[in-house]
Amino acid sequence: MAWPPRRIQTRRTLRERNQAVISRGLILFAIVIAAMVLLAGRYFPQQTDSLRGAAADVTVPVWSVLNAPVTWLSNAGANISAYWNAAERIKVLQGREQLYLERRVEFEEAVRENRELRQLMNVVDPNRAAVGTFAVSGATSGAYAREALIGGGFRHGVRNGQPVRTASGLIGRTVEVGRNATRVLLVTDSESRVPVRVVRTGLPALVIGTNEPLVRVDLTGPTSNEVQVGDRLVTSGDGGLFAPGVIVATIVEIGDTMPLARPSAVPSLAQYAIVEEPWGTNFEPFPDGEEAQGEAALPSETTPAP
Amino acid sequence: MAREGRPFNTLSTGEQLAVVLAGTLGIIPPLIVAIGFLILTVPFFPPIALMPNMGLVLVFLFALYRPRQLPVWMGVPLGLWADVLLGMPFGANGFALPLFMLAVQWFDTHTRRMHWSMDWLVAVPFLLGYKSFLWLICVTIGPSAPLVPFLSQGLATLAVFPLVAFLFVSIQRRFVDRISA
Repeated sequence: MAWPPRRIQTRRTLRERNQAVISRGLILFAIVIAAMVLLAGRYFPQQTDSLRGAAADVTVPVWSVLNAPVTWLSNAGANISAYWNAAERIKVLQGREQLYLERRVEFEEAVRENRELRQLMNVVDPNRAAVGTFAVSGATSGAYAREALIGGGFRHGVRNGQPVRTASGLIGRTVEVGRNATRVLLVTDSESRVPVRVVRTGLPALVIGTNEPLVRVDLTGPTSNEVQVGDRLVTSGDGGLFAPGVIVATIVEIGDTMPLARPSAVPSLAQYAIVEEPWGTNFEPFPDGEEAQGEAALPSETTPAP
Repeated sequence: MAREGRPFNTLSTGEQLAVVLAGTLGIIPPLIVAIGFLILTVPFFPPIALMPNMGLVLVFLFALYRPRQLPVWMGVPLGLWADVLLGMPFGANGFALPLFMLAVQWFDTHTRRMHWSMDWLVAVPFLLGYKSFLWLICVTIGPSAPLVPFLSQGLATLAVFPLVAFLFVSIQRRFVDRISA
């Protein structure tokens, strides 16, 4: 027997034929409306941002509830596996701690020197003020946009265009803010651009997302920058959005056109993300009259050449 | 049934409740498709796009087997819902989904399949074609994006086709068509 049984398509009465005509008209009308919405979204994208924010508000509570038992089970598994081969791992960690203690002395000395030099040069650094720490509660499917959803929104002080990072590095920036949830454009999204510098050479580069696991590193610029596999890339602070020094990626492949790098922070491994104020707009306010004094006190030899 | 043809106010309370509940069953098909799209937003970040689009498979199955329960115009609001959830250009799925449903229905009325497993085979060009068409809309309207993640998601969607078909049949039998074994 043929599968599925053929449906009866004949419309016998006038009423059925009229209904079919109305139905076709309705379908055509709906498709035209959808096409107009598509074009409107192309030319007035900000009108749809609030809708996306509202959709995030719907999505986040669902996954927050469903995620709780999964997270609990996952943490329980991690705790149990932590006991496996524990003695051996403690020995390794103790060895590392000795090494890090020695390096820490050098690091603290460098930090002190750096602070003194900055004070001598009257360098004013913006603060890295955190807006808050929020649970990573959702994602897009990743086919077109690489975004994460976090459980903090307008009500919590989150605004559009704020950097988002985890303990292991930068993951992206906020793009659409709902009342209680926010979409985060990940560094792997094809629309993402992050100004970085190579830690080894200190020269600038640009990390470009590709909607794939690895990101591209654009080295074209005023400097002839070269990288090696294993080079680490940190935010440069250029553009005033991302604070300098946050690790972004590590070079894993020197391609023909652009080197490829693996992002340091993987959102799936992070249960929480930190949202920060945009770095360049967050300067410590000067006490009255001190700004002009600071400018005047700048030694003439430290004034940058035009 | 005994209550057929009788005015509503002459029915008993239980019968009136049954009539009202039967009227609300129509919400189930669009609701489960909407939930199917919502599943795509699970907080899971695979290196490549591997989350199956269950909502799309459900739309395919409804267009194939129950076109009256999920009319074509319903593809527009459901597609817009998918757009705001998945970060696609607003209107991309809203435009493509009703066309997809029309194409599936046209195919169904002009062809015959010898076994239910043929539906899976038929779904291959439809789902991959839909993903390619969606990619074309996205890169036309929005910024450029690679095709590979769309196709990888299409393949993942095809992989879960039997599971979604099983769920579709179960929900139909249990809730919508009310067929008891």
